[in-house]
Amino acid sequence: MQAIMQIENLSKHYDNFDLEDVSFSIPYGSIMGLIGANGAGKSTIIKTILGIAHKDSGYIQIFGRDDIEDNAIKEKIGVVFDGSNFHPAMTPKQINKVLADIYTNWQEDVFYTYLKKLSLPEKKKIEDFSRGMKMKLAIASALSHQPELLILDEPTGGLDPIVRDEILDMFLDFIQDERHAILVSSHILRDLEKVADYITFIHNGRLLFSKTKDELIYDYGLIRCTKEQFSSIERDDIIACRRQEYSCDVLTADKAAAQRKYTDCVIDNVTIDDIMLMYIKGERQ
Amino acid sequence: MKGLLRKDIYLAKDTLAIMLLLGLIIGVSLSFFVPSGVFIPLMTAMLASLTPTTMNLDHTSGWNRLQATMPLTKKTIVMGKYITFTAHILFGYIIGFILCFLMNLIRKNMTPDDYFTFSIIGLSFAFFSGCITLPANHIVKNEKMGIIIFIFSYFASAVILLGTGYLLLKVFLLNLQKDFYIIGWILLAFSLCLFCLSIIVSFKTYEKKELV
Repeated sequence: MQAIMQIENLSKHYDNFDLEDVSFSIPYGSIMGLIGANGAGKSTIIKTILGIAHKDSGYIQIFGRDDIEDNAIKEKIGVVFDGSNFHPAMTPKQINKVLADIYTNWQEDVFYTYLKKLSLPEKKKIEDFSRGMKMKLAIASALSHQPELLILDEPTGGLDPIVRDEILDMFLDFIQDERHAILVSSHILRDLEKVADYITFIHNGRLLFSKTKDELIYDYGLIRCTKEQFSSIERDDIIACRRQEYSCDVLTADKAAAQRKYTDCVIDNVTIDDIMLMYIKGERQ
Repeated sequence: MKGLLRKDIYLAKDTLAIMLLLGLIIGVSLSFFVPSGVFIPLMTAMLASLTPTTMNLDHTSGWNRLQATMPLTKKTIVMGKYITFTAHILFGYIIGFILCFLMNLIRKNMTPDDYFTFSIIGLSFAFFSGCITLPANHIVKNEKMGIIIFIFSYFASAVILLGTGYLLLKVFLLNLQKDFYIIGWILLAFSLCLFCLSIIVSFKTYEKKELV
């Protein structure tokens, strides 16, 4: 499958944090969810991809080229950062004029359609906007210059479920075109479970996995067992486990095989939340 | 480039009226004690301060980060600020000159040489301060430091201006009365040269900068 973005062995060193050898790729027509706890390295990856932090080593190819400084590539990328993106003293109407002068493919009509659809007043200053409105404006702006790739850093953080749902719908609309793709980082995993096709999990600056969401949800399972039953589980079947006083929860990558092998244990379905928790808090084998 | 300049105009517009009013009040008050020419360096300096203000706003609002992802070269981003700064200086100079002229209609305390002196002082000071402030604003990470550097840059400008004047008079043996206009033009040219050289420093600084 052809990738809109390919990252290989990306490393970035800070005094108190290292991002090491991260590799993943995003196929055309898909949404990649970048997950991990706060400080795991999600934002560092995004900043390095966008060239606003300099990578120490590795290879980042977007649209088949390893040159994020090329304006032709930047034209095709829509970016939304967590928190503020625009000057609080400006209005959406002014932002339209500024961005129209910057992006060759800026579509004023599309921008105003988004403002209307998202109930954003065009003449009100951004400082008077709620957090949700600011985020909607940032997404509307990112979508109004015919981008093919959207890169979003925590776009739904701190928003109420209704606004989050509206934003997720916008992502799904965008991805209807198979030439498009989205890289979205979030620690609200329920959102990603709704829209993402792939999940890349970063922990302490290292890649734990990059897999399809379906593989995680349908293949992974949670074995609920007693301490005695736990001792009979083969090490190869255990990704991580959490021991409690009388019982154990075991994350396994092959739920179907576990159901056949461990008939006396309860095997539950997993959510992305469960997987993340097991990887971070559990004992890994 | 046009988009960046437009954005800076929108940002400056908000504080421009207050700046002009403040400059007018201070200028009128001062011109009862000193020549009306004080309007020229005062308004030039006040308007010049708008650019470091917009740079701080760019940083605090997150715009710096976002603009780095836009189809703009680093050179364009750096040059945009220099153009804005020069435009602010020239606008401040013109406003200062007009106010000085109007005040002089009442006070009648300015000679053509005074117009020249205050113009050279105003413009040289502003360009000298710009060659410190603009590169430094790419390095500092907080608003307070940006303001401190801007204030310090005027002190440094005074030192550079006096030092250059001293060199012209004592080393190159120019005569203040006889070579009055030559000295003025040399000071202005020197400030412009330093200002232009600082573009290279700014570009190198911005290129290495990580917008995190």
